Amino acid sequence: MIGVINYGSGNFRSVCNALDFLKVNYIELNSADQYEVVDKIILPGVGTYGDCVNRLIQKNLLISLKEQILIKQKYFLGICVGMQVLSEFGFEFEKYSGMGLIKGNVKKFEKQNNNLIPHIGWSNLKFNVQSSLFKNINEDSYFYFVHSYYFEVIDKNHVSSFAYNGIEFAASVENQNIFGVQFHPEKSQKDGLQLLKNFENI
Amino acid sequence: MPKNRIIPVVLLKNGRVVQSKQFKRHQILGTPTVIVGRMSNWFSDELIYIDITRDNNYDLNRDDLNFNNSNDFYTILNDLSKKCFMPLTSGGGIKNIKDIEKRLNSGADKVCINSEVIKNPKFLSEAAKIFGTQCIVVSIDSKMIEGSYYVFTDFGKINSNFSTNQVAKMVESEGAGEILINSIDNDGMGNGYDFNLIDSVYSNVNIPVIAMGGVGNWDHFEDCITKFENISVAASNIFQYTENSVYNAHLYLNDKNINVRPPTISTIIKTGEE
Repeated sequence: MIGVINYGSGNFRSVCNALDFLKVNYIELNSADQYEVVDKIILPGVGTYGDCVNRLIQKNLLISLKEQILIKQKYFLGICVGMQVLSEFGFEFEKYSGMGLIKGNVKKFEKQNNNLIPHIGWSNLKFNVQSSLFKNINEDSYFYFVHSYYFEVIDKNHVSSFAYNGIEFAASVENQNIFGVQFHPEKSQKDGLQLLKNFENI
Repeated sequence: MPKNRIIPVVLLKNGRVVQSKQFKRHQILGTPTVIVGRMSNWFSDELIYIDITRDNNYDLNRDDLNFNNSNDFYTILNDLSKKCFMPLTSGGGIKNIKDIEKRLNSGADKVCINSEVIKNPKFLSEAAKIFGTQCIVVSIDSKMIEGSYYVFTDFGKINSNFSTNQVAKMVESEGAGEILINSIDNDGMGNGYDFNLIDSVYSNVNIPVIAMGGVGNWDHFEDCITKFENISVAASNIFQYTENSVYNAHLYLNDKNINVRPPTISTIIKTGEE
């Protein structure tokens, strides 16, 4: 059973719509005691780093989430800001601490090589290390991105794919039971649905 | 770098999808659920869905008077979002934070704000702070008056007396994530985009710009993307005329080496809508 964390993120409903369409079993996760009944966790995200961290803290969901991932070894998928909070620190508006589960920080794109900020639209992926998340998905497939900040991952072995917006950045990260995608699989048509299906089947 | 997006705009009036000509004439095309469901199966990069129903009674010719639109609008949005796995932008009549919340809760990913931005620029910065700039598209309806472009509000009826480039810069600094620039003069004419108008926005801001108004064939997309490297191209009427229109537009442009998402048949999802 998958638990989808609902901390009031804008794309919570979209993620559920996609899971409904795929007929995946999931529950809406609102409080820490519900962690016990799920074996996989999805953290959707739209908005700012600090907002995501603060709301998880307010709902008493953050510390126990880390415990679920690190000690109980539950599979975790973070989407967009939900992925970014895996980092050590975020610098959107001010400095915030993340979960620190993958080494590196989240920083803003700089204007370079004629890129646009925010990075909005469909970009293709370059696979870096093999990942079960991309089973039956071809390299060069397109996914929908919308973000101004990116995760600068220190150990490139934790980056499962890259995309490009003026510079190459981590489109997805992975470390054992921990997965994160900067793009929105719930808005990326067929390949996005396949990715969510793959997460269910891990 | 992301691909140049091809974005169908669906105009809804009194519960019906319509085509528009210079913001004045609106011809009914059909029911929204069927039409928008088809769009999503046709490989759209995004979809913009704008309600242009007038609240007052001055435009009653040909519309179905018995059709209650306001409730239906949210129902349709909600139904769509359950089947449509691409970004949905909802616009039309957004006047306050509650309106935005309601659209997002009904399944929109972004909202498109028009007249209210001109009337109350602080609304824009407030909305961007709450929902994030990535959530806010500002649409600018523009018309040429004596050789200069001006922004019009209220369905293109009222001249704000602000120049287009001035408004573009203002909305960028107030927190717009994207700008949809629409030409009232070229709307529904099929003679191509107004490049001077697009340039007055594109060259003055650093956020993504979506061009709109006047597309009559796929070459008009090509011309626009060739001229403005990072532009996204939107159109309304042209996507309604043929089967698989959005897919075919991608195919046509991809064959000409234009930087669009290459279409693959397998990317199309069957939602059982047709």
